[in-house]
Amino acid sequence: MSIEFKSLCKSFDGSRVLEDVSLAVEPGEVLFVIGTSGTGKSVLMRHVIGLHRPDSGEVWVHGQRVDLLSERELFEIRKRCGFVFQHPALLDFLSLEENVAMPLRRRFGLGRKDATERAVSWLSQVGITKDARSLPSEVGPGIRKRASIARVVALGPEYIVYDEPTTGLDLVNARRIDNLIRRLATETKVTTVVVSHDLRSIFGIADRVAFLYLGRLHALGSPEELRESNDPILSQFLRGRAEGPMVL
Amino acid sequence: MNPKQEQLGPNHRFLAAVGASTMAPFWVAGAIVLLLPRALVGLKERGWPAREVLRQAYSAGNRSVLLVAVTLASVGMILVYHGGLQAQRVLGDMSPVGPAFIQILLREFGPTIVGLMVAARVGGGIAAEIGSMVVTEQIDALRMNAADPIRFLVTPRLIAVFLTTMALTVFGCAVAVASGAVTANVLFGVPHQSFLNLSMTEPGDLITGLIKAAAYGVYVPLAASWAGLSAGIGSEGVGRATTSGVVVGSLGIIVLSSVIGAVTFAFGL
Repeated sequence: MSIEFKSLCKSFDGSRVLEDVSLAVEPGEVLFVIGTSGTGKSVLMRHVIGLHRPDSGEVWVHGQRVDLLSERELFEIRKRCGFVFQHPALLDFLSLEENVAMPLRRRFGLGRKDATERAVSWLSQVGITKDARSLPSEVGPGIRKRASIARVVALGPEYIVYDEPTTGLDLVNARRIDNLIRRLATETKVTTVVVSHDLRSIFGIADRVAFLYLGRLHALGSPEELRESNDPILSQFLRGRAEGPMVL
Repeated sequence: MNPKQEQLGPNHRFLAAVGASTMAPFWVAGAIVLLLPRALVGLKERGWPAREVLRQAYSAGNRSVLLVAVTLASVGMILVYHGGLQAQRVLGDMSPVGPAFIQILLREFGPTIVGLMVAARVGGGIAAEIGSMVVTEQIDALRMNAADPIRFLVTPRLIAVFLTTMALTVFGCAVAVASGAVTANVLFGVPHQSFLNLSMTEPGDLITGLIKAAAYGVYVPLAASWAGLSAGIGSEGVGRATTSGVVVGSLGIIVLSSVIGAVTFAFGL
């Protein structure tokens, strides 16, 4: 197993967000984690890179238990695991190419020129050419999101977690991001986890889907299996109906 | 209320709340002080963002010039006007007005008022900027790339605000002296040569003023950065961080002014 959660529980200020979540991500697959807003999808994924620590349970990445690692030890896991945040999280004071080049310089000790060349190459692979020298504030949200993906992919991770990559984007840009995720997963064989509630993305590019409900893993299977499921809660979510048994 | 507090009776809960409130300023002060060595370590690493220092210096310095000029000009006019009235009434001699004004300006008012202006304008800006970076996950992204947020964000601001606070203090004092000299001349007929007299100013006054300006230049960016890095969730979190940056910065300047004043006095400066 490449990423595995075992009986994970997590609370914030006495409020239980994740309850006994056990989930394994297969190597090379594209797994979508879906669920209503506030159901703990992002919180679950932030455990992978040690940005959250579980109250109980275990988190395993690449055969290593990460929930017990120190911040320094986590760096080795973070080298293997890229995280595309919900916000593009680009540094405001650096251009797009500098945002991609900075981690390359830190991670691989590259010189400024080499890092910039690689950054420009990766930006062009995600469709950014003429805006590479623009500041994040000077480009649209779709370009910012693609630049944040380039920043992660440029480091050659074995695992990538995307936290709501299409949220806030128009349909055209959202589909471009979907295609990019699928292409990267296919070409680089990277194990991919996508936190999302964009149903078009789910049925377009997912290999498997995990449905979280009220902090628990409610359903797990291929998109077709979930679509054909008779579970009333899952069915209500996938059909986007306001009326039904779901407790919000 | 956490589970431990829920188990306490009302009296104990009251005492716990009083204790927590009493200790809070010390925790904050400790956290701000602990930022300093981490920010200074950032100076030793290669490749720290020099361009960001210039950007911050421009933002903190150039854009504060008008605020500092207007404020210190007003302070100069008001102090000289009231000082002149008292001198006229009590002494009937205007000659001490200029020397006394320059002495107290360099030692106390100049650095402290500039420090408060910097805390309000620059400190608030730093807290809001870093706070919004926390909210938009930029800090997490830095950690993911093994980049220390303190080195990347606090170190450039510390250098920039330190240098600009020193420069603004010199500039602000010059503006206050100029406005005071004009006020004394126009309202009381004091000649400029008589006003611009350093007979009451000793090296200790200048040293005390410079120590204060340097201390504020270090304290304000650290306090504001601490507030920003402690930001909570969403725009409310950024708003609270900004307020906290200004309040903690301003209060700290008042405390530092008193402490430095007492210490330099004890050392005979």
